[in-house]
Parts: sequence; C-alpha cells; structure tokens
Amino acid sequence: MEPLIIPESGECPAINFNGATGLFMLSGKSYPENVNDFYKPVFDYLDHYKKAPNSKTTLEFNWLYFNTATSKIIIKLIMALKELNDQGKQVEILWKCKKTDELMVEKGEEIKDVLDIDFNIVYV
Amino acid sequence: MYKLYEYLRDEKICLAYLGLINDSITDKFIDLSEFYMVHSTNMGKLKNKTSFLIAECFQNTIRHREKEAKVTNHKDYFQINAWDGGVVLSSCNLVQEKYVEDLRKKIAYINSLGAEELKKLHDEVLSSDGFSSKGGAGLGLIDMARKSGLPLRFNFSSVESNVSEFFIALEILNNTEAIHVPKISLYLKREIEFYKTLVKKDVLILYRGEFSKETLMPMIEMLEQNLVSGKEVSSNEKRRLVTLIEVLQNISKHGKTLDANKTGIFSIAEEGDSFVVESGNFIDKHEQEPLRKTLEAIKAMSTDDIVALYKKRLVTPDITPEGNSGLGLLEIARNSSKNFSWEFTETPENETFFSIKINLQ
Repeated sequence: MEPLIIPESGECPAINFNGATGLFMLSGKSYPENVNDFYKPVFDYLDHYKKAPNSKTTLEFNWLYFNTATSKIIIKLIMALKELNDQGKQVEILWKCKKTDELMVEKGEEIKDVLDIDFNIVYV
Repeated sequence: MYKLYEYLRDEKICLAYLGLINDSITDKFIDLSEFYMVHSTNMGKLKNKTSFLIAECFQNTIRHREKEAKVTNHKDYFQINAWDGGVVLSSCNLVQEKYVEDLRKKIAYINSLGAEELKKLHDEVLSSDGFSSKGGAGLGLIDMARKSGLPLRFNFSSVESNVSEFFIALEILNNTEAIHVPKISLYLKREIEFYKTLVKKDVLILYRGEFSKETLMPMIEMLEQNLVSGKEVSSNEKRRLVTLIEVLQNISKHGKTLDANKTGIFSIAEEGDSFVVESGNFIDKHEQEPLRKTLEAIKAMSTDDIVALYKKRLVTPDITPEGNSGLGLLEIARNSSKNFSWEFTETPENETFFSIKINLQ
C-alpha cells in the first residue's frame, strides 16, 4: 500500500500515513475552514487500509495546536482504528507533546478520558 | 462593535494594523488585498498596482521610520481601505523633526510633477542617488506617486520636541467607478482621528470586511506573528491563538450572508499583559434566542461543568457537513475563564448584529 503523504501548509497539518508499516502520523497545526474536506482523503485511506491491516497499527499525533473541529476529527480517526482493536488487532495511540505544554497535555488527557483505547501521552 | 462596523460601512475592506512590521506582514496585506481585488467585479485590473504599492508603502515605513525615539501614544501604523472603485493606502511612522521640512518640500515637489516629469526624476535619482536622504523622499515616494497617478496626501504632527508623526495616504482609483471613494483630503483628516482612537485603545489589528477562508488565513498568520514572542509557541500563546481562530471561524461559519457577502468586524487590543478581542457579525434573526440562551447557560456553568460538557460533545454529536463541531463557544469560555460578554443589536434594516467581547489572559 502506497503511503499517504500530505505536506504541512498554512492551516493544515503534515500527514504521513504508511499502510505498509502501520504507522500513521499527524503533526503541526490544524484549523482548516472545513475539516471534512481536508480529512476526507485521510479517512478514505484508512478505509482502504482496514481491509488488510497490519497486526499492529500506531496512530501518532504531534500537534502544535488545532481548532475544535479538528478535536472531533481526532476522535473520529481513533474510533476508525478502534474497530481494528475490536477485531483483535493491536492499536496504539501515541500523543506526543512537551510536558510543559499544558494545553496539549490537557487536550490529550481529555481525549484519553472519553475513549476506551490504549492511549499514551508521550512527553518529548 | 456595531457602531464601529457602521462607521466603516462603506468600506469593502478596512484593515488597520499597528503591530509588528516586517516583510512577512507585507505579504499578508498583499494576500488579503489580492483576494478582494480578484473577487470584486470592477477592481481586478488594479490588483497588481495595489500589491506593488502595498509593498512600497511598507518598505518606506520599514526603511525610514525613526526607531530609536520612545514616544507614548504612538504606534507605527498601516491601513488599507477599499471601496467599490478604489483603494486608499495610508501609513504613519515617526520621523526626526530635522527632516520634516525637507520631506515636506520633496513631497510637494513630487506632487507638482506630471507623469513624464516624474519618470525623468525617477531616472535621475536612480542614476545619481542625489535626491535620497535619511529623511526619505527617495525612489519609494516617487514610485508611489507614479503608480498611483495622483498626488500623495500627507501630514506631519509634532509629538515631541524632536520627533513628528508622518502620515501619508495614496489613492488607487478605477476612474470610471470611483464614485464611492471619499475625497482623500477629507479621508486623511478622518484617518488621523481614527488612528489616534486605535492607539488610545492599544489596538493591534482591526479588520472589517469579508470573512472567508481566504481572508482569515492572512489574518491568523498576522496574529501568530504578533502573539508569539519566542521561537517556540508557549502553551498560553497557543490558548490565545486557538481562541482567536475559533472567534474568526465562528464568523465565517455562522455569520449571515448579506448582499452575497459574509461581512463582519474583528479587533484585538492589548490591555496590560492580556488581550481584548472583539468581533461582530450579522446572524439570522431566529438564531438570536438560541444563541443568547447558550451563552447565558455557558456563563452560568462552573469551569468543571464546561469541561464535562466539552468532553461529552467531543464524542457526540458528529461534525456537520459544514465542518461545525458545537465546541467553539465552550473553547472560548474555557480559554477566557468565562471572561466574555455579548450584545445583540437590531439594525435599522431589521437585521440582527451579534457582538462578543473576550478578555484573554
């Protein structure tokens, strides 16, 4: 499976989804005017990946900051992979941020609270 | 905010900027101006000329401003105003008093010349370097006069014994359509008063115009430049930026479209170590009561309750097709520690104007 690579630009994050390795990374800022439009290729890619997933999938976030609509996209992405978890595949969520970055720690903890999945806040 | 919106009602765009001035900010002004020019029915042909003059005006301010003088109640300033049929660019920076008379004479001389004579002067200055001085009035001002094709309007206002504020304004007119543009002599007088009000309120950026993705991006990038102090964005700076993005995107998503435009107004001002953010936009009449009830309910909640509701909404309901999450006001409330107020104004046209004021620590 060819990777999905979208370079960072203005209000949109860098995306590097590698279906071959099962490592999916998002980083930078995210506040597109319409999150549905921007993230559509990402969800399409995940749908395709889920047909023949790896035994382990890692979803890694390393945000600078994001808008509230992106918060919901993050939840949707995690939920999409949770389906694999429910099928017995290993799914790991890594939330990378600085320990001093109170806002991103807080955002990570809130998402962790509302989801029942292996969610690790990793201080970098 | 409605009064200010009305004060600027004839302008298609008004962007007043009193923040950090650098080349990157120049680019954002150009992006915003080009968006307006391209999307305006009768301004497309003025696009390149306007972009050139924005760059020239900024360069002039950056190169020639007096940076050493510490003057209270002064901020370097740049503004673009666009009407149907014309644009006015204006700026203000400090100059040393000893250059004022020389600069005044040079601009008067430039204004007295016709197109051919200006070209000749331009070529002479380019080849000899004789006309330029620290006081300004070099190639930049000649180019501004040549491109504009109209006299440069200016004013000096002494602020301290050895320093003056130098205001300059220039017009770019689409001659056949310029009937909406006010007389520039009146404009400059109004402009100076407007500038003084903005300085008094410590305003960094004031924008009145279309709220769309294309206009918000340059604005957000300007805010990033002004709100981030170091190489890395601190957590508190992120909180401020995220709140500002929600405020701006709320207008572009929920604002009412009138006459094919989603117009609104936005300002950010410094207040000690914190910022005061104000915005205003039209909303559908039937949205007023639900919005008022939502705002009152959020205001009455404890911070814990706001966080609990935020978390609940994270998972349900889903994002609307327009990309709305239902979290924006909660985010604003959290990040301002509920330090916000609002107002609904019924306009004479029977429209509803919604204003919100937020204090960000």
